[in-house]
Amino acid sequence: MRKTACAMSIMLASISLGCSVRGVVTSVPPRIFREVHGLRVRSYQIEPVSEDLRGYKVIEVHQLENLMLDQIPESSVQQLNLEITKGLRSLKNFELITDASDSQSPQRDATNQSGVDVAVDRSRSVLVLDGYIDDYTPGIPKLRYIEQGNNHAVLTVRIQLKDKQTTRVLGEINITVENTRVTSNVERMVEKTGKEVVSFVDRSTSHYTTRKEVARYVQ
Amino acid sequence: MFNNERTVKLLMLTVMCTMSALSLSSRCNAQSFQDPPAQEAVEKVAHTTAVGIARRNLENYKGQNGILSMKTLVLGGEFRVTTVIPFRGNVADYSQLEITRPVSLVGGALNVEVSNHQVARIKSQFDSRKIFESVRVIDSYDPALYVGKQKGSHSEIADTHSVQDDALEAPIRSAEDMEVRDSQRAREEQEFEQRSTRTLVTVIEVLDYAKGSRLKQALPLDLGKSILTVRLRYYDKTTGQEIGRQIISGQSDGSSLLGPLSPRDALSGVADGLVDQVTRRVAASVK
Repeated sequence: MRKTACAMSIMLASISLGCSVRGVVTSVPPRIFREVHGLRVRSYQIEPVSEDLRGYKVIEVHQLENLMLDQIPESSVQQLNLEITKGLRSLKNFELITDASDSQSPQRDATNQSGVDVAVDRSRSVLVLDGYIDDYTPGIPKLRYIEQGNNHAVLTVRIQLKDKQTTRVLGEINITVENTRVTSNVERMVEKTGKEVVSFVDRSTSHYTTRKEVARYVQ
Repeated sequence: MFNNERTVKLLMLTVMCTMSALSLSSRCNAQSFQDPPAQEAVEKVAHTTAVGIARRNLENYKGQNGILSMKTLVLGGEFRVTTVIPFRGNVADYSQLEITRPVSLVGGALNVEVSNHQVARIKSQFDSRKIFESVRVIDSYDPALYVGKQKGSHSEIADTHSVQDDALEAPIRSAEDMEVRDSQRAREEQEFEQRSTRTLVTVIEVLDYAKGSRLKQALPLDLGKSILTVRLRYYDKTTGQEIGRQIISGQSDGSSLLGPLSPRDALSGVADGLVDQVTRRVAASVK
């Protein structure tokens, strides 16, 4: 009787050890993969840029409209707007970058002028960048450790490029940045979103996408 | 003799039974041909009663935990809900529900077929829950149109009252008259509200969508996740007022016990989340 009980307990212990080892072994590859590729971006062209925007040398940056209201911290909204403005200033595509929220004293883009006082033609077309914060969640980091549940952090923005005079939408994109890393945080996700927005503006204003290419992209 | 009497009695009984059966069946036939509205009314009353019973049964309703529960652990299809604008008013006042076809904010990633499938799934879940007398799918809803109308009708009513009752030159009436007037006005307003606050409109905007791949989910590389994120705006149909706003995001990544073989996907999570959120509000109102 005692021998049977001993054998049973050894068998149960070995099964549970085997299961836990198997669990660890099988969960290691996705964990490593997630740490490497855990900050993912999904973007959807809502209105593909089909015109040549290289002629726009002035861009007016608007603060993103926050549709999440108080569900997103004010600090994250500010960080996002700042990242976008900062990123646009580092581009070489524009001679002047104005901030719509600070319209009283438009800031010249010092980096792009190279010490030369560029006289801005008022009649020149102005590109307007505005958009919306559509979704935000900081996620649940504790659940990421045990790899269970809907735990990831997400930030979704919708960016529009418009002509200031006609207010016509020249391009619109939806960008979602998802953070599933255990070691990462919300700030990193916001920073990544800002970079993606800047990258979209850069692509749209430095490269002319032909209608054929647009049609192929949409398909 | 005895046999004859008995036979006659039996014959008479048979004739009477046949006659009564014929008359009953003809009456039923006549009713079915002549009174279809009456039948419809009966069906409607029965349906309303069923809705009332279903709503009363919600007293012990406990909301679902979409983030982590036994269901999500076994089958997957978890969801999260972010309430941007909490519900205003009493959701139990709404007896009808209208769901718009999803508005795509993800461009061509969401095609018509997927969109129709989403809305059909949500409708079927609401139908099975039976907490609304009718659930309809509409193409779109523009609250601005209704806001204008409502303002107009309110002002018209106010104008009528002001002309008839509140003219400056009108004599001051007795206290009894004023009481009668007050009760009449309250009744009119109540009737107006009952007429106007009956339909809840849910506008669905798709913010993020990835179909996912069960094959990729089978690989141990955290790939092929199915994702659907929607923004839901809840409107009072007649007033055009937004009474609530939520984000619901569903996902399925093959990490459940059933893995990629699970029948649930991101849409399952969103549908569960939406039905659960509305049911919670109705249950809270019933309590």
